[in-house]
Amino acid sequence: MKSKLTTSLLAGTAAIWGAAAAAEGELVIYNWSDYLDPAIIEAFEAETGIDVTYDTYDSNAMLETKVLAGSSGYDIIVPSSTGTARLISAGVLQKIDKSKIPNLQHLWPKIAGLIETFDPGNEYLVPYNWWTFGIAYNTGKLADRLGADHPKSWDLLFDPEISGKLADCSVMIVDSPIDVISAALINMGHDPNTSDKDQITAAGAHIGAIRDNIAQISTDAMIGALSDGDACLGLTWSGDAYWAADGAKEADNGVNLEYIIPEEGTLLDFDGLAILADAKNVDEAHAFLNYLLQPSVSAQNANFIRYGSANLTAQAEIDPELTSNPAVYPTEATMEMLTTPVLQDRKTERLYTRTWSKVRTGQ
Amino acid sequence: MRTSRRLLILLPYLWLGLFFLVPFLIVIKIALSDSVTASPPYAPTFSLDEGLAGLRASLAALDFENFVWLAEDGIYLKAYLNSVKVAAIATLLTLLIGYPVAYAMAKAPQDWRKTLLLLVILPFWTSFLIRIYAWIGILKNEGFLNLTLMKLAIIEQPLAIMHTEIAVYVGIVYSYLPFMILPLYASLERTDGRLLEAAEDLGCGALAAFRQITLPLSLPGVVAGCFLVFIPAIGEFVIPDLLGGSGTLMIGKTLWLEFFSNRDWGVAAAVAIVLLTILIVPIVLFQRHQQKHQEELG
Amino acid sequence: MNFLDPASAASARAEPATPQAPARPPLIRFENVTKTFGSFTAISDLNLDIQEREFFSLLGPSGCGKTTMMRLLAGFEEVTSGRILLDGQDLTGTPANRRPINMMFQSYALFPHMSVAKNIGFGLKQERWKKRDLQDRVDEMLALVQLEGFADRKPHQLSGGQMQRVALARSLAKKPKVLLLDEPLGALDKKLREETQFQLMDVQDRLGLTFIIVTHDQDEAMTVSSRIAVMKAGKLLQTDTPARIYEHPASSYVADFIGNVNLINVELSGMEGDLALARWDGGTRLAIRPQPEDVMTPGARKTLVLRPEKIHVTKDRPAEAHNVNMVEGTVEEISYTGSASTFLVRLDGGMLIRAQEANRLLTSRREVDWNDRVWLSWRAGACVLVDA
Repeated sequence: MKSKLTTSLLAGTAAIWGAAAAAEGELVIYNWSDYLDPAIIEAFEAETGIDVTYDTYDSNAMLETKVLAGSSGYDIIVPSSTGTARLISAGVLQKIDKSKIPNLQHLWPKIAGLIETFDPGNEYLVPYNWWTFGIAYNTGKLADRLGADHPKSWDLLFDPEISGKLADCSVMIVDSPIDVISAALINMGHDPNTSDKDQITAAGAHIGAIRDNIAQISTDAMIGALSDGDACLGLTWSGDAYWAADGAKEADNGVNLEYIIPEEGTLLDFDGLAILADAKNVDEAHAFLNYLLQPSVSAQNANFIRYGSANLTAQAEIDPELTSNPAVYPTEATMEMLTTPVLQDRKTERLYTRTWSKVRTGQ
Repeated sequence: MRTSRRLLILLPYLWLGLFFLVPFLIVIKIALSDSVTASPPYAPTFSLDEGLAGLRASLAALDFENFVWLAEDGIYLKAYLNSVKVAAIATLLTLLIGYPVAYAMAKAPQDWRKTLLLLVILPFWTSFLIRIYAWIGILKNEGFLNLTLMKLAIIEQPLAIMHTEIAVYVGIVYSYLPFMILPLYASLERTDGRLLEAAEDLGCGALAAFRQITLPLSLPGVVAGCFLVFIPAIGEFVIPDLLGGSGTLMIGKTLWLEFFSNRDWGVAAAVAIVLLTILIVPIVLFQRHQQKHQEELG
Repeated sequence: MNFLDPASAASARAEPATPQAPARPPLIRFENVTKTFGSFTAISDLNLDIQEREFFSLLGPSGCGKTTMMRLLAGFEEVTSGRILLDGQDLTGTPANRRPINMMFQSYALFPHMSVAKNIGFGLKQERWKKRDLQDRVDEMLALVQLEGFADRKPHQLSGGQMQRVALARSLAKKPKVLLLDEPLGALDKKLREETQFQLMDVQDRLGLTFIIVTHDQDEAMTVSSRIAVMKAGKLLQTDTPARIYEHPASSYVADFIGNVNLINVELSGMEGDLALARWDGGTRLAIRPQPEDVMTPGARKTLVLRPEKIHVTKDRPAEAHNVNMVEGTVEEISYTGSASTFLVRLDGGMLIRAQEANRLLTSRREVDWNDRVWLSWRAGACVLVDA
């Protein structure tokens, strides 16, 4: 009995070890939850014989902390937004061997170009998905309170008079400092990427002025609250807004959600696939990236995760309901008004999070 | 014989040194470091590659900047004070709920007590996280509590408990209640029933006997229970994070934000050290109290 | 008066109201009291009167109901039927904290978190005594038990004897009409116990209180009591002065419970003058001086109660007399206890008799030795008859 227990314990330990140490013919992927069609992994395993271990996280912070600590055991990670730049400068990513990924040719040059702010020459990142930050709202409840011709700008939240009228049906914002403060900066007519201390502090006060109209600051609760009709307006990302609308449609609960990119403009954000500098399965990682960039596979994945894909060739095969949705794929004109975030220095970054802490706790 | 005894005494110290002192020194070192965008995200890192000179240079790079930062920014003091406030109120609530429970258990018939004790400990057999998630299911707007109250027509609008400080208190009181009940029960059960009879015999009513005999005699249990709840509650992170709202400012959450959101390991380590220093005061008081109590019994 | 002077204590014992002359109504009266716990009957239809200023002992083996009697009196238990009167007042329904009866608990039950003074003053505090008066009474009580200077000690800083005295002072502080003492000396060693017995008697005498003591220790009961009630299985077997309990037991059980005794089954054969005659084992003829209340029916089977110290052990046959009984046997065992020696003598009929002689001579000069043939003799007035 005892020896049996020991054996199974050893086996268990070996299994855990194996996952982390990933020998040849294996690949360890660390991705956002629900951010890759599992069928693609199965197909990749069947085609190549490579054994894929798939692990997920739910915040950029979690990913960065784990990776920066070193020896994470992962091969491929999917950092988002300014986090990509941070990881590149921290030296934890390795340059991609483009000769091993012929399918890079299918990438959307415009999106790839946007990423160059963080990764000049796209040396470390393979663009994955992109999205915007905007406002999702319950059309019925907003019409009731503001009339049908209400503004479609950030004023919906930042004008105390307007959001005051919405306070009774719950206004929510996601718990994301850079996005929300940038939105406030845009609404005030400032550069959303400013590092000016006074402007950032003023943006904090700008949000503080309508703090009492905000029922909840939460990322996790956003999709559910919007689709259940618990919240009538939410500041969130286009992908989450899409999921909320989808949920409401499925529940058939009379909630009709719309996502707008406010007319003053907003942030355009993206994430990329990257290979860690201490990856043990470099060849397998390249093979996977190449596999994923096949237009048909990219389209399959886009249809599953419902985000804007960076694969241009794949667009033809993506569900038209997605491609025709201006919330997911904004028009050319809208695209002109979008700004990508920049990586701030540590001091400014801290100023952002500190300003946010004060907003959050209502101090 | 003497050597083996010495080894035996050495063992706990070795354990303490290896698993407390060494990690603590590492945390102190990080607290004195600067945070950088690198892996690991702080500098300097000690390395023997550059020999003694390199080591000396690394040492010279350590400073108290992070602690100065803690002192300069009011939000940390607020977070510490709020944590102490939340922990103190939660401890009081736990005592108010735990005392009658422990009292009833101590007064229960002998053959019931083991079962009751088991019931108190039983929740520990499930994961702490799962129990907190269960509370989310109970407290949220469309949760079990609100649905029941609305079905019974006691309320019309759901009570907003989730994501408020009330939910944090519910979570802490629920999670730490056994730590309050167990020492209380131990001291109440030890109380000699004849002391109460003696008090009654000398003209004491039931309530007066409780106030003059039972309560003072259970004070060691009260103190032990309060410390066992208060000390971990100050640093509590999971409960305020999951049940509390965005307005719940606690030091555990602040530490988490420094570590994860700001990736500032230096400040996070400094917050942790200050937290530990704050906790040392009640811990030492607790130790002294326990010792005094032991002596009185002996 | 010296606190620990046996002589003065003895005088205390001589004074109590004589139970034979109940001129006044009793202080305490148990009237057909029955107490059951579930199916177990602890006290069964019991009647008992206790007079003022008595030092009354409830004596019996554990489980005999003596502790239940005390708890009924104190108010910790309610009677199942019957009633208890104090000064003519029915106590039923009066809770323990309203009865003018205090109790000294077995192993004292001192409040461990209070000083000696606080312990003693506890009962007075409940009655909201003025601070000054309370202080005076506490001092008085401390003086009574000779613990001046110990007022600020905590119980765990006291010796066993000191704790016992604090407990006594605490239970006396309210000057109760009745003090109940539950095995008050059980936790003390033998020498201290004897000293404390006299102390208790002295206190009782000085305060003029009624003491009721529960004990399983017959020596203790004999020493301190004015009267003893011997209990068995929820009933009173005999209530009497220590001397009468010892020398005129009402039953062989009482005789056997108190001290050492030889119990001999006899058959009455008739009277000869003022002596009763009986036959032992159908042979040996015995003369017994009967008690006034004894009913002597010839042919009745009785038990002869013969205390060992009443028997003489001699090597030579004693002189014949009509009021002296004698039997012959062989010494089987001699146990030496210092002041006396106990002889176990096997009679020719097979019976073993215990006899005790004071050691008037040094042991080396003792006449009787192991296996000696000896004569045992006792006077007709030195033994009593009880129902078999």
